[in-house]
Amino acid sequence: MSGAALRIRGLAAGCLSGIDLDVAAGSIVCVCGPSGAGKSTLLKAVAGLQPPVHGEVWLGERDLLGVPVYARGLGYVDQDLHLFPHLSLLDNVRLGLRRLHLGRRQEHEAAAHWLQRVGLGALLARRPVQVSGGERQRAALARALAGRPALLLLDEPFSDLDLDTGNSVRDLLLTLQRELGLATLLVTHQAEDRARLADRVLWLRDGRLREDAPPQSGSAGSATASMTSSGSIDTHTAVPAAGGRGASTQPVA
Amino acid sequence: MFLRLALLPLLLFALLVVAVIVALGMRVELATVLAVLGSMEVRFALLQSLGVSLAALAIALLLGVPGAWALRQWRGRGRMLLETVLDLPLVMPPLVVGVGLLFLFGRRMLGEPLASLGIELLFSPAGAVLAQAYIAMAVVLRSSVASFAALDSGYAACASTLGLKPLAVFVHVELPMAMRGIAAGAVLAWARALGEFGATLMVAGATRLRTETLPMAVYLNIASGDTDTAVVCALLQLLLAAGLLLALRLLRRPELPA
Repeated sequence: MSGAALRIRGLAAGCLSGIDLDVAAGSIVCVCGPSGAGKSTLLKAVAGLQPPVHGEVWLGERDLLGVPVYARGLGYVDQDLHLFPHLSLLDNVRLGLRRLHLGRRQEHEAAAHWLQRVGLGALLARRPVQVSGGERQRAALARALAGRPALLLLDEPFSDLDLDTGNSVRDLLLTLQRELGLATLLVTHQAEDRARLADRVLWLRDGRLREDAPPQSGSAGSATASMTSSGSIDTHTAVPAAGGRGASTQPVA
Repeated sequence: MFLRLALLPLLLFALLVVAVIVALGMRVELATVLAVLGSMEVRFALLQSLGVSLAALAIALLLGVPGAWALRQWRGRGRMLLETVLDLPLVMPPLVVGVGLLFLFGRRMLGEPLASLGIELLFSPAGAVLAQAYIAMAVVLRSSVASFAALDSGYAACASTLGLKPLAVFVHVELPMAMRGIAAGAVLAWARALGEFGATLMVAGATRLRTETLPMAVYLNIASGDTDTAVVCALLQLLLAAGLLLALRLLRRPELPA
């Protein structure tokens, strides 16, 4: 499973209300905003970890509402990573491969392959506590991607890393995400994420999408945002601005 | 100064604990201990104690650990009431538990239908297993609920997003992560079952070489005036309890990075 577009209409969950959003396959949308604005809630609602009050969440042609979390076919990495501490990195990634129903040997080989892809080929048997923060980030990314998700949800995954380590993981994410053609929703506070990764930047405030800004812009007054009559963002018309990654990619949807 | 004053009662109590063990040990010569250890009754009581308590522990773990996990997940009404009921055995006197089980599994209630199925629980080793499982279950449940509650729920959520169904999340993530706490609870429950007397006496009775566990052997031999056998059984029980206490301490040590 890969390369499906995410479409959200009228989503209300927790503090969120009236969220309309499109993320095209292969694009990265950064979700920014102050603490408590509902960024993580948005990701959890899409993942199925937070039940929505109403609204629609479509992944390609699949209506995700009512689908159990385990059947949604997505990759999710949160700030704490939640690598299973009792398992080696290899076994962590193997759990990520369970939904592909491979044989034991194939599963082992695929997990080793994914860890090699993220530069951890020499650390297969290490436990999460035995590797560095950057290596844990890579392992979490490998685990999330190994099961061939249709959508990638990232909740401030680089916030604990120093600039150099963070940038090397960002580059890795970009390479893999492009290769797999994944729609990606990235919650972040970091300007570095917006500059290096974002095709588009959405700003959430008080549970509502306030604007759809191009990468590297501030939080207010984006000339590219286009408000619909309901006050939500018409992301179909958002145009990536020069300077960010969006300048070299196609407009969303 | 205050520290020393506060430590004084502790030291006195520690002295009392040691004195009780010494008093037991001084009652018998080493040669007598060795001779009594070889007797059929003591060997039977030891094996019966181990067998019955392990069977009770197995039942408590099989039912209690998944039950504790389910209780942790369940958000329905009546949860507090259910938890209170499940904790009751922890504060019920074992003798009262035994009398209740005796009546419940007696002929007037469940005994008759069970007998028609060929199941005889009262005054049999199976009755001892029932009584000890009842006592052990409450300990296993309490420690397992606490162990699951201590887990960061983000791990289970993350496992679900990877495609693991609830049973797989339990088996591959939550159970292994809660294992230390559950194992510590299991050791405590085993110790409770090994030393269990009141409930076992009521449900299984005290029949030599049939329902004779170590505590029962102490009781029977003190009553019949065979102090040597009673003391050796008591010392054996102390030895087992000390071993379990040591295991508990090892399990509760902070985990060192591998």
